[in-house]
Amino acid sequence: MLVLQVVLSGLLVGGIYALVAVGLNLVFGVLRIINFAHGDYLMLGMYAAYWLWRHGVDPYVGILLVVPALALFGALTERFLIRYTLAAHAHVKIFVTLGLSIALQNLALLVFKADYLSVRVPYQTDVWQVFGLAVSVPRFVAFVAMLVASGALFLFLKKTDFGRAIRATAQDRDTARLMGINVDAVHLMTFVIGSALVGLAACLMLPIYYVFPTIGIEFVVAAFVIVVLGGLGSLHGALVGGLVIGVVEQLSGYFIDSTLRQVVYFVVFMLVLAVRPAGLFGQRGAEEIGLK
Amino acid sequence: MIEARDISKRYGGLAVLSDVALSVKAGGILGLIGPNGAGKSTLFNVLTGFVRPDAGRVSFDGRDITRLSPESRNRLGIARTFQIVKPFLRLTVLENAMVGGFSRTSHVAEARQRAREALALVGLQGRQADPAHTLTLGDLKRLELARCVATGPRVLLLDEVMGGLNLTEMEQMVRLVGGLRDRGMTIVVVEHIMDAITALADDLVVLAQGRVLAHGKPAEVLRDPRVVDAYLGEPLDAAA
Amino acid sequence: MSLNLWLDIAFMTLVWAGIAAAWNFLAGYAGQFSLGHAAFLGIGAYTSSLLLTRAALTPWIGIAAGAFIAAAVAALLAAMSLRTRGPFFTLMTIAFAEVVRILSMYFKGLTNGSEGVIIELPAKLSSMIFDGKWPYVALAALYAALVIGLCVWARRTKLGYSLLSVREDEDAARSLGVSSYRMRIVATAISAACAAVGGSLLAQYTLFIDPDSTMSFMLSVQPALITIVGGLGNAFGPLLGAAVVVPLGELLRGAFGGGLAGLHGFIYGVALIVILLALPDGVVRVFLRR
Repeated sequence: MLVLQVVLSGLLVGGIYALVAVGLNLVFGVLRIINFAHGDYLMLGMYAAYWLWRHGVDPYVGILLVVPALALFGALTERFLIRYTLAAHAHVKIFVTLGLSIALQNLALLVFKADYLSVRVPYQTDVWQVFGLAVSVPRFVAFVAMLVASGALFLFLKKTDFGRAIRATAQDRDTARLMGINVDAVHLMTFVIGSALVGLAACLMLPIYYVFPTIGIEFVVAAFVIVVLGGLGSLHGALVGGLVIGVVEQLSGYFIDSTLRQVVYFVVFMLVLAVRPAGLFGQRGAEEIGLK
Repeated sequence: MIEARDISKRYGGLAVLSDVALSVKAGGILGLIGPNGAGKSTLFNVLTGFVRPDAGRVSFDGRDITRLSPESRNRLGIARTFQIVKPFLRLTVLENAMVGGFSRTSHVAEARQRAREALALVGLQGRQADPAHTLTLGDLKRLELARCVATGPRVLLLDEVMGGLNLTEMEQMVRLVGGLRDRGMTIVVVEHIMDAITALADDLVVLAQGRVLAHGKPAEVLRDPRVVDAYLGEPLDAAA
Repeated sequence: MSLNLWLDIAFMTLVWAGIAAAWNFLAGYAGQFSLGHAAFLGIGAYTSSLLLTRAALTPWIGIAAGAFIAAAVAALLAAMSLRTRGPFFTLMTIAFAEVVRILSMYFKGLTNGSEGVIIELPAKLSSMIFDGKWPYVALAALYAALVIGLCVWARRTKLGYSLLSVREDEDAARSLGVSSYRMRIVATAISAACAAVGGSLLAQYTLFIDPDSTMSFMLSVQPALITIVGGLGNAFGPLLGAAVVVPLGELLRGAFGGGLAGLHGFIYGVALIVILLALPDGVVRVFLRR
């Protein structure tokens, strides 16, 4: 029974990981860059939501403000930074987002100091009893929101013209351009969507996690593992991967020393990269696409 | 020299090669032609080690090389060029050729010597010190050829080496390849340009839809009605 | 500013020039960007320090042992990474370095965990501990010269040509007889061994090592930043880059150090972005007209 509880917690945690991973995966699939700063956008979103809470805005309500704010931030970084790396050498792509990540973390350190901050909201510790299992309310809300957001994204990509344009660009940027798709706009929108998703995740996470300057790292690492595990450019891969990682993490925390918990998923990560770099759902050879 | 038997390869549901057999005899030029999508490049990749066939066997001088890596095959004496040139852009012309030169030796001086000779053979010795990214396509094709020659191969596989060249460059290349054959090199040429292939090939293999359609002397093959149907459209006079 | 401060900066600059040159061997020559070199620094530092404090083995040998172990571990990492390209290799190295760091905290019996290892021994040549800073600076200079010299020499050998060819176009390289898999493993091992020596030197200087200060992620970023600033792929780029980045870092730390935590890092991050976009070939371009 206890194992079942751990698995359930893992699924709920996994939902949050999935939300972060989906944005990262989308950006990678379309722009072919690994945004090392993705987790730090999450961190910024959390600080923003925290600040709003200090001014009387509940984190869930804060979604209405934080998501657009982060979307805007994403747009600005895409336009003034990322855009210039797309045609540059491989090392430029890697290190520019890395530099951004380092800059953002330290900026947060400067402004907010290293304190672990946390909100206090009435539903924070609410727990529902479902079939004898405890379900944390904020985690459940986050999970549901993740399903809704992923569903919406899926529909957007599948059914709308712009969504199709995004998928086309992800498959073959040059051909998409030749077919008249405004690739620059696609890049911008993708980044905006990725950032918005992270903004959503930030607000949902605030009642659950502490916020501190380096919290981004913890989630982005899990997000990378998920992206690699689930497969590049695969939306359902990111979802399934997120849930799997969540469960693996909780189970290892339960059975193994907590220090080693992180080692488990780094090792999983390395093994997947070693054996099947395209991920479980990715196309074979997908890891080579866009790197030439 | 090179023997391929029962080569089959599928990608997903598509059978790209089915029971292909090929025999490359020492000396002379073997031409490999066929419509687009016939599987020529895939066959090339199988022969040179870049693709593993699902079934079949490739042997070199009697030795089974089906599972051998491209680099091992090169050390045995198989060299290839690529359909889309792959120069070492940030290295100079000489350095490019030297990479080939090192295939048989660890000594810099010896590698440089082989490289210089190979470059002289293709006529690029004047551009030794130029970075590869400053070369035209025609020169890059010659560079790729020089790189291969510098490895001291016994068999040369050329993948659409005429592609993208203008008439003058093409004539030069035909003379170059013919000259290599005259020096005793065995060559396999994949080609689309009929003038070039009829000028060069001693033997011809026609591939269509992953199968060998015909093989033999160019004169016969090019008049074979099946070949005309699948590829040429109208009979081609092979007396060139 | 005292002479000691200058010597301190000189030591750090030279050691980091050597470490960055080691990183550059893998990145500039083989085209593989590692963000996990801190792990090799740690392996070097811990091996030589533990051998010194527990087995009384002189660091003159201990450093070689550290380099050897680092090379072996690196070869293993490279063998696992053969199918990864570009940023995926980078991710692999990040994961690897974290695993090493966490494991060194976990195996307290061996490494003393987060308490670290203190080298509390009298100054002696055989312990590679000196009272003044001059001998350290000389050692660091020797180190940097050796690693950079290795890079210059390798460039002209079959190894160098093979590495560069794999960097430029792996398929073409393989078709010319270059074993790209072997090259990757060799390059990673050499780079790791050289970096490990730097790690040992740092340990001999600071006389204290612990997982966080010896193997933090920022220490993996440092050689990359230095090389990028100086000039990627150029043997002297790391030296130039270190001469710019290290003193600047010390200056910033001195000026803002305690009070404004984060300012140093913020400037690092911004500098990285600016250099990459404005001077992608590094400072060395200003001097060479190639």
